[in-house]
Amino acid sequence: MFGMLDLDASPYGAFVWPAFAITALVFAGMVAGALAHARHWRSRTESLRKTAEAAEAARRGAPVQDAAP
Amino acid sequence: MIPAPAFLSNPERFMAFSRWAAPMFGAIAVVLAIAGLWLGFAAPEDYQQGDTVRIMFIHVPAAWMSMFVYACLGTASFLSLVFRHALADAAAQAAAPLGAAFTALALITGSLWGRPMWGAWWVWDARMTSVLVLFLFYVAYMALRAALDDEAKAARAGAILALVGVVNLPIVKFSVDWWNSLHQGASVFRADGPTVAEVFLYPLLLMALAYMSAFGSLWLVRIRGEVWRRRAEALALRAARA
Repeated sequence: MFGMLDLDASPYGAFVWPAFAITALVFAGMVAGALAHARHWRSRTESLRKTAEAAEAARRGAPVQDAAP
Repeated sequence: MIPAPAFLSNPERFMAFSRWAAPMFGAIAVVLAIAGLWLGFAAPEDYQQGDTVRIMFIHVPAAWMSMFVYACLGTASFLSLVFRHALADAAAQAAAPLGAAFTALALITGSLWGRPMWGAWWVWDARMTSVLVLFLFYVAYMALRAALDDEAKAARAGAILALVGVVNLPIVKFSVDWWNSLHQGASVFRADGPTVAEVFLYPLLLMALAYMSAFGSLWLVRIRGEVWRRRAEALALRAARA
């Protein structure tokens, strides 16, 4: 039913390969965008949480611990 | 109260679940895509479409996903609007850019198939026009959310717009039956079974499952990002008040 890979798209290569290239680009963009969005807000949240903890500790007069992991 | 997976309605449980589920769905998507592409390029040329039939393996799943993602957006918007569920709103907001990307892919790859087969990049056919309207709904949803600073107002306005757009889904699906259309009718999801030859059906279904898994993974990652964004904004607000 299935033979060897047929990568010769002629005479339609000018339409087939751009379709696959654009699909790959869009998927790459979706992956990069999703990961960048999540990483950015995760690091921002952690940074704000550390700042809030340091401020709370300072308010109570306790020594501020190094927040670095 | 909420019929959706109730254990996911708790943000902490969702974050614990999505931490392993997102990479798992991503890995499944890669394996399925490799298998689908392999079978797709091993399949013989179609006797009418020639090699352009291979565009179908990326075009048709994108078109299916454009509607499926909008159904997810509509369901999440409904849960957000009715139950005021913050995680449902995050899910709706996270789905929109992914749905817009899938819809854009469906339109672009369809155009690249249509030029050699129909002799035109675009025709104002009922199916294509309704999919373009679907894309515009995604863009309008994102623009509306971005335009409103008040998160609660943006969520409510976005949810209402998303639910209005759900009306377009049956129009997209049945446009080829309701109107004379250049676009072919349904050939896979039919009451009398698929009319597509197995050599084309198997790679098509594998690619559809790959797209679905990829969406599952990316949706979870984007929702996680939304949860962190909201936590960051709550912390920033608390710091500003202190």
